[in-house]
Amino acid sequence: MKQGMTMQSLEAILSLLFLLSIASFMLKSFYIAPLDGSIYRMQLSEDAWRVLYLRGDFHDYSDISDLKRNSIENDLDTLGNQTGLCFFLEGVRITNCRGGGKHQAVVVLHKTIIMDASPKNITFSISN
Amino acid sequence: MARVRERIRGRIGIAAIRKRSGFLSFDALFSLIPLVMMLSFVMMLVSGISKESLLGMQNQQLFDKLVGIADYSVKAGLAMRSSNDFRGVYESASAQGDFIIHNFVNESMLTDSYVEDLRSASGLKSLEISLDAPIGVTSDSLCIYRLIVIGDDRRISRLFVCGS
Repeated sequence: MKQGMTMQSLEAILSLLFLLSIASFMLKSFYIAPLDGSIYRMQLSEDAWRVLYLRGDFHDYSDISDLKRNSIENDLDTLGNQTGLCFFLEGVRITNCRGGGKHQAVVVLHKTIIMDASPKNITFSISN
Repeated sequence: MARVRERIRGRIGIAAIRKRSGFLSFDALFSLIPLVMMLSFVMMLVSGISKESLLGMQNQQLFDKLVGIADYSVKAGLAMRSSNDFRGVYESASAQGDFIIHNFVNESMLTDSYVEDLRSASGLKSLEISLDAPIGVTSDSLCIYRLIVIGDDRRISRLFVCGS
């Protein structure tokens, strides 16, 4: 009788272990790893900076005038419309996502621009 | 008499053992059925998981290839070339000695043969590179884009790269 009980307990433990292993397998199978696009995001961020540069937004960049600010804002708006991303130029406080709200930066680029004939560090960040 | 008793006892003993072995077979049979069912279920589950992971790996490989093709296109394959320094924003010099301007795409270089060469070199089934958003993309295709400027007015555009 006692031996029978021991066998039953052993069977129960084995069944439980089996059930747990199946459950963990199933949970893992439900999780599909997303595509790793970290390099692509960085390339896209560099593209955005590069586009601003090619558009001449940082050409003859001196004390930021309203005209220059409008030009950069328009370009950031266009980039934002095409990508659905928010771009922030910290240091000169220009963005295409106005109206506040907390944005978690996905990529942060540290760039140097020539301002009044001297280098100025600027942070270009992108968020979703 | 004693011999007869011994024989009877012996026969009873054999019958009891046979009866017990019969019980054991049934017990083993009923234990084996759920075991086989569980094993087949595990096998199905493992094959399903391996299929999923294989699909994920293939998708990642395709994505990486498209990222590489797009990067090559904006930095070399389709990049504008200029014989003089373009506002000091040239990135590298080509073999001909002219400057290559990254992210400034020369639309005239985007030809069918350019796309076909890249497709065969990358080993993709299909490849589409265009400046317009792709339409009618199949479900097994993947699309990415890069930000570029085109034309004399350097307007902002996107270079789409789709492949399967």
